[in-house]
Amino acid sequence: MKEPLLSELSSPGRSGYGLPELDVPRESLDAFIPPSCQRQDLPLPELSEMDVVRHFVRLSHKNASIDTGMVPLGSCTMKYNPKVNEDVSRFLGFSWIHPLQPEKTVQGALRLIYDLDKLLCAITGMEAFSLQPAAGAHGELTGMLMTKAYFDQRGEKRTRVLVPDSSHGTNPATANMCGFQVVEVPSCRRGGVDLDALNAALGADVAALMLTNPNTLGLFDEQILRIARSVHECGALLYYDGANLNANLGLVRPGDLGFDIIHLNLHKTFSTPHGGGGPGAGPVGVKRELAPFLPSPIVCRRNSNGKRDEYFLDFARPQTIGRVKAFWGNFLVLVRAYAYIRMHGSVGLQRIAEGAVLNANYVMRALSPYYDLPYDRVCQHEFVLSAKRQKEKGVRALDIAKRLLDYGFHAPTVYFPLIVEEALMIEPTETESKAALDAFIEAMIAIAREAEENPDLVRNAPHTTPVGRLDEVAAARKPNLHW
Amino acid sequence: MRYLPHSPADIREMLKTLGMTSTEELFRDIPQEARPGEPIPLPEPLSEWEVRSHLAQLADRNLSLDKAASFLGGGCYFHIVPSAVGHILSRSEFYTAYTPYQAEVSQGTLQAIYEFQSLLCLLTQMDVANASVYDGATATAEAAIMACEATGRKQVVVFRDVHPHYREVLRTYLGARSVEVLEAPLAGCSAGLEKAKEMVSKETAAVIMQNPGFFGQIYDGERFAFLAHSCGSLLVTVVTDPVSLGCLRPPGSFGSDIVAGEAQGLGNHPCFGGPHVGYLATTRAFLRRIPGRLVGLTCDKDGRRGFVLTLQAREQHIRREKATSNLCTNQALCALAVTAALSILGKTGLQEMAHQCLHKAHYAFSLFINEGGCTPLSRGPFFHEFALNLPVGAEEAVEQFLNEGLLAGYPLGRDYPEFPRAMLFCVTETTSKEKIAHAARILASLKTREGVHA
Repeated sequence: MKEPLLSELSSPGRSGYGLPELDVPRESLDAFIPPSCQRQDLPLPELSEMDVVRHFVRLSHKNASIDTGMVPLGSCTMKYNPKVNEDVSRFLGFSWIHPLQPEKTVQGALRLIYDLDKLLCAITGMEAFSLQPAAGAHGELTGMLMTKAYFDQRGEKRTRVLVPDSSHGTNPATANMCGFQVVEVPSCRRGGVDLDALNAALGADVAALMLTNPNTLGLFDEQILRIARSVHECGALLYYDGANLNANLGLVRPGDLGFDIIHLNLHKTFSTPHGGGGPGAGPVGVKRELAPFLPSPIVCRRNSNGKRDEYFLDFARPQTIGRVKAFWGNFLVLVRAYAYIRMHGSVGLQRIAEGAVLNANYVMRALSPYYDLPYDRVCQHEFVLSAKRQKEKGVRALDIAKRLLDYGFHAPTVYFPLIVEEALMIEPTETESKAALDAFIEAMIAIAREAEENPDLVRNAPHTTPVGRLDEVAAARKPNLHW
Repeated sequence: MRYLPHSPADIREMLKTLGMTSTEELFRDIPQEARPGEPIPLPEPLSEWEVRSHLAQLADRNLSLDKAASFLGGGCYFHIVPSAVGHILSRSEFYTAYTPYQAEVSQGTLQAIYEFQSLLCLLTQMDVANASVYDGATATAEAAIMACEATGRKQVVVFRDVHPHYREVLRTYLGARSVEVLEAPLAGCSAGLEKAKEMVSKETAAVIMQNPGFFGQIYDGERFAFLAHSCGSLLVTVVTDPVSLGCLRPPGSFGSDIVAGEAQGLGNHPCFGGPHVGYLATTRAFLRRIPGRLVGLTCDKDGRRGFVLTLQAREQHIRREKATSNLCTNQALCALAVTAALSILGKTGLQEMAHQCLHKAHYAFSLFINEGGCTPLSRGPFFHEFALNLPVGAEEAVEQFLNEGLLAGYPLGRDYPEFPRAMLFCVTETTSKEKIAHAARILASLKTREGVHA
């Protein structure tokens, strides 16, 4: 059922909200603002509150979401979002505080940021954090800006950044935004970084290697310690893209593997909701020697002689790269992540990683007779299938993804990583039960069968969703971006 | 463990299908020497009941705006949020949804974003708006980068009364690309525009001004457009409170090429500074240079209307190092709050909200000067923020306000050392006449005390 636009639902004179009566004398606007600075007309829609509520509730019915079904997107870690996190983030003491209030009136908030910083240090093996970046890509930008500042300060001219050919698009995009030249390093047959190619690419002009481990194939690079040594030997930094941290929680820490700078995605590993595309948060963690370059300010603690600890914003950071965002960070997202970590503790985090990796291997093993498995190894929290076999019948990864929608599942990631043909990247996460996994497996097997016996059904999917496949070519050729 | 659904029997059964007997076998690729010898030192896990109680205690140590009237603005605004907004945001299908790459199962999110884009175009009077960016500060930086790419130039001129945090973010982003950032004096001071005229040249990609400025002043945008265009650069207008667009001349109407805005003031609470929601709006000419997500209207093969992410070739997942930016996540749920709030307020509601801010702020302005002993930094027109020199130091005033249960305005000296006694006051529709009068009395008492000490 087509849901009208707000503009189509609008009716002149209808009003949704009554403000309290103005309690100071009302005058003509001309008394305050010259007419040339005033707005002439305001063509906004006019609706009642019920119109608006019905509109958005009906729209919500058209969305897939974790609360309706599994969303097995690789490298997205779409795990269940705990409801208590939503409740606590709505406490007025968190949501109705202004960032510029005197510090003594927001000690609870400052303490939460400080404590989260320390918890993340313990979990990742890093030594200092900034919680200012608003998203993973934002954290990457922060990390690469710090890399640049680090070498500028040392007087070393390093212009190149290495990324694996399996890397997420934000890695090269970020390196480019910081003025680096991006060089791709091929992967070896086992799926990890090709060590010989890496050593050939490393040199005194390389600033950093950006890696995620496990990588986007879901494989833990067994050579990671050798990679770290090689990178450090030529004086470069090792950057960790934390998108896949879910597989490591409680088991191994990026800091212990030799990473110098990391970013985390709180909206992946730490259960904060995706919101349909944000808000997230992308904290950046570093080893001690890079801490001076972190964005300013940092929340610090002082203790004055036996009195209560005081938390404050430390702006005295002469080597900071500067700010990457106004104010202090996506605070309400930090609140949710903090609550999540406090509910799990050390053992809980380890169980998360074990559950995530067990679930992924279970599904991979069950699907391996039906789909090509480019890397037949124990995977970590995600794995990649190839729809090469199905392509021979004219059914591609995209078609399989669309047909899954008819079975009530959100599609997995498709056509990524780029190094696998017709890639389907699947990450169930630890919050899915065995029954949910079995239902997903059944659906994937059914679709593999359909690809053999009734390929058109898959090629023309989806059939049961609110709309069918949309004409993206027309959308781009003649963009219609507002009513 | 509540969010981990497997029983020990499940785990055993699943391991068996893998030919394993212990989960340890899953992690053989991790080098033993890198694994911590003992569990990571974290606090003991809390139950849901306990974590709620612990967070409540932390929240109680903050003075929230329901307990203390506030005169703080400075890029983050406390406006009335209609109750229905929170309920809409709490729909599972909105907040636990993924980014709408699979359009067929994301029509709710996509249509809501299309509506957000549409409303922002109407508010700013620009041709196209994107699906949101992290905040107004990063929007400003991205706008500057857009201008540099569009003109091929490597310098921007920014006025000093663009938000201090925004100017810092601008330097962080542009420094990485070796783009020069020149700072012109406060746009409102007599030398401002004159000095800026001397600074711009055919090296300038953008002139960046904020309207109303950080000190609250409303400007004649046409003069800035003329300045920018006369040297072939773009005018970037920064707008920090979307409610101001309920009664002020929109940036598109006076020649802005790009609008970099913060939309938190609609539908979103202050939240200690985040998450907020920035946006970029521009003219048709720069449509293909705008970073971030864009939602477009189209049809499916049966002719049904639908919405889809479009012009994705600009973005990182396709262009990689040649992308217009590295943006991946936007601020979708916060943008939904803006859309829902604007829908409920509507034309009359937003207009009334803007008018109330205007009236109450001017009422406070007069009272603080006539009875509070303050002097204005400028007599120019303003919307809901204004800067006054106080009878005593601004930090002392903050203390005195707190003693009487109020939150004073922002001491401008922290970012503008040339104004050590100035305070930036913001008055919105949430501030009552009584609280304004109370504030005036406090200011007056400070004057008296200062008289005694002098």
